Amino acid sequence: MNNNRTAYAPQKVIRHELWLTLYQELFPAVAGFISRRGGDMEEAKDIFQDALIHYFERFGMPDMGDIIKPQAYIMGSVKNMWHKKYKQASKYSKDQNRDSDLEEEIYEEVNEKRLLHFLHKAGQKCLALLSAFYYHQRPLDEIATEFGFSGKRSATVQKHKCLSKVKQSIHEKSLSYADFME
Amino acid sequence: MQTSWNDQIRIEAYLKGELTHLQQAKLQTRMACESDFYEQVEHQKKSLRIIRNHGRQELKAELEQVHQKLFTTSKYSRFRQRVLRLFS
Repeated sequence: MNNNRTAYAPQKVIRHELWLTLYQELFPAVAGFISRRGGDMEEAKDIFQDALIHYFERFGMPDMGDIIKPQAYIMGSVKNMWHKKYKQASKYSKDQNRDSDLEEEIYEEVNEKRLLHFLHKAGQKCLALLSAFYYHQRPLDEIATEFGFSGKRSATVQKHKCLSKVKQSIHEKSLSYADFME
Repeated sequence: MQTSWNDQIRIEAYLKGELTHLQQAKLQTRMACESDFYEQVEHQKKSLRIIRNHGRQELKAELEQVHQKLFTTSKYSRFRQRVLRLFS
């Protein structure tokens, strides 16, 4: 596997320019919406960034030349997220039974955060490859070029090896957590 | 605990909803009968969740970098003032 992570850099550079454009075009309107409802800059930033990530996961990177489509969707997402945030806050304060479900969700989230932290250290290169394929939905021939594999088949083999490695780590960590909890 | 690659490919197709009804039923039967296989499916599901969270963390870090750039470099001072005025 290519050790040079800058092989992945070109996509990051493209994304950086796109985020800069979207931020300058859309963030003022989002900030205005949030500030009129009593929110602060930190809240506006968090919600805006979550909306951008949501758009990216649904539609991929938007076209630099066409800001209209992402603009409408992102503003819609921001409004939904804002309303949901305040609806959930009042729901949690009223519903006592929600506490035990919430504890389990938080436990699962902490558990997975620990695993991700472990994998960052133990499997950085594998995570980068798996992220390129599963999260960024990059085709295997592009991944092969960027990561320095001989071809698509080699990238496929490495992808499966990396996934097995992640699954094995989960299995080992789940055994150690189970021992700890008994 | 190792999964065969064929199993891994089949589990991936199952999690993506790409199996036929019959294939899905066969896989679910196998999950019910073989605890190891059930665990493999759960581990693969969890792996995909972790990979997704990793991807999100990367994007979040990229966005944070852009935010800092816009709010600290002199090139974007007009943009910065325009936004900060909204919260003053």
